[in-house]
Amino acid sequence: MIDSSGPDLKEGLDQVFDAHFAEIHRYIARRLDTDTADDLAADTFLIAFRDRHRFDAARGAVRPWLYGIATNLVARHRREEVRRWKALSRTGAPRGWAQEGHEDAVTARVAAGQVTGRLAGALAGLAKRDRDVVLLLALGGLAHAEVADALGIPYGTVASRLNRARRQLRKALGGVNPLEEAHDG
Amino acid sequence: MDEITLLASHLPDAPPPAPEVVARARARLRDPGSRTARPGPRRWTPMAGLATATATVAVAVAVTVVVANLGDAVPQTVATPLKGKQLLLAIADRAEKAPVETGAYWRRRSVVGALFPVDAVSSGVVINTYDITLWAPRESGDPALASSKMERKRSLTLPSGKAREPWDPAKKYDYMLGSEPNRCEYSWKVERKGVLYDRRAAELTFADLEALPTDPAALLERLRAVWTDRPNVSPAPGRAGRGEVPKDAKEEQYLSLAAVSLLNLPSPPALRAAALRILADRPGTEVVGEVVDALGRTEVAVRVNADPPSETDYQVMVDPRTGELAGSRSTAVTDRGGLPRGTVLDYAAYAEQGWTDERPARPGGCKRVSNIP
Repeated sequence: MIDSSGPDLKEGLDQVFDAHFAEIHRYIARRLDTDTADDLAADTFLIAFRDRHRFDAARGAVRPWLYGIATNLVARHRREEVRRWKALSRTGAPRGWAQEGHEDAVTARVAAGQVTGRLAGALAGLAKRDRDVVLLLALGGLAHAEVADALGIPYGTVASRLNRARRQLRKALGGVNPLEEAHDG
Repeated sequence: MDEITLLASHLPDAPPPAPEVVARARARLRDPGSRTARPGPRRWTPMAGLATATATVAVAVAVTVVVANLGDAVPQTVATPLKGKQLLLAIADRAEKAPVETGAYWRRRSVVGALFPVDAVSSGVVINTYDITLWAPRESGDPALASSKMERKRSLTLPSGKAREPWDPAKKYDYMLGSEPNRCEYSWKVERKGVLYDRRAAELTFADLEALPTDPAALLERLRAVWTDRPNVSPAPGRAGRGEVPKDAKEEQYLSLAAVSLLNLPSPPALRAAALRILADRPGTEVVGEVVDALGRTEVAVRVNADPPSETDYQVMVDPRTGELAGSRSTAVTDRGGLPRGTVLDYAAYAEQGWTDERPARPGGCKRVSNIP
């Protein structure tokens, strides 16, 4: 994981690109698809460069700022994203790209597939603003305060959106919730 | 663990961006107007693109190479209004002026894609893409390596058995990432006589390439002699009917393919120029014009008189800046199985090529096979 303080724009766009391009690409590809991510990740950095004078280092780090731009670009593909989560909810989990080649036990895979399917179904049903919050946390690995920076919303709003989204996710997991016994962290 | 952790671990992951995607994004950042004016195959510098490099290293290297080449490669778009044969001849003039290079190995990395209909009605197709690296030794005792990594398997669903438009690798489509494991294979051979990888003109070694005439008329005569000396001049028995072609026409096809073969091999610049001139003169050659290839680069597509009765067109991509072969593709000649005429059925785009003094190493974790297609 890249340190969220990271290089800032003053150190040059090259360093920012090197440090964050792959993770921004991955974030977009996990919400949409790789081809779209190829374009949108590049667009994210073009926009960051174009709007660099609007970036205020005193108000936050460059990484949440990039995730904010990427999230705005993903928003233009909202329908595709919802379609993707719905499709995933029907098919369960295709085995993740990173896990290819591992010989997981079939039962574990079926259970995992159920969890993935239900999570995806719940994601499709979330309001866009709530989905942005949970996916910035889950896929971007941002902290709550960074999500607030990325979306330009108050910290308290992040918390309330997150609570609402988590209620829906928990409900969707229902009987297959592997967290049933886990504490609510 | 909470719902957020669960999402992070259970939502499908995505592959890292391909090196050319990173390089392109980088290039756009440096020159926002450069979206379509992308360079042809990159010069392979000694440090570039090791087959065994990790993804991170490969990304970093690709970026370096593009940035290093951006200055000389990008501005030279084909501003010329030339078309057809004249365009090809102008490219030949440019090719002739390229510097002669050499090294221990000729190395090329290609991105190859092929499209397969899923079923008879073709409501869906599968697109496999491969990353292939070829090492051809200059000395005949040295091993030749070809390694192939299946990069992605995508499926593309076409609405109700009909495609909306020809599939074009340069465009974007909705697709699902499939669950095919990445496959990696390699072949490792010592070719005692040093015969090179493309035998469509003849069985040629590097020494042969250097000895071939570079005057187009003399080269054509030499190729005609090769054709005449071939033992199997008449059409193969059992291929009467659709596949049968009159003898003269077969010779023409051979000459076209021989010219392409010389372009595909690491021929010296003067030989490359002669091969381009021969190709330009063939009656079945058709210069399609500028097209954007699978790597987003602008190349000149040339339809080759390869096999007229076939259902596919064979086209080669010529780099208008250097006259080097930048790739090839097959397109559907007729509508078939829900795939309309013009659909690109397979393609190869040469991402990097050039001479190197590095030596190949067997790729780890890959299966050895006798031949990489």
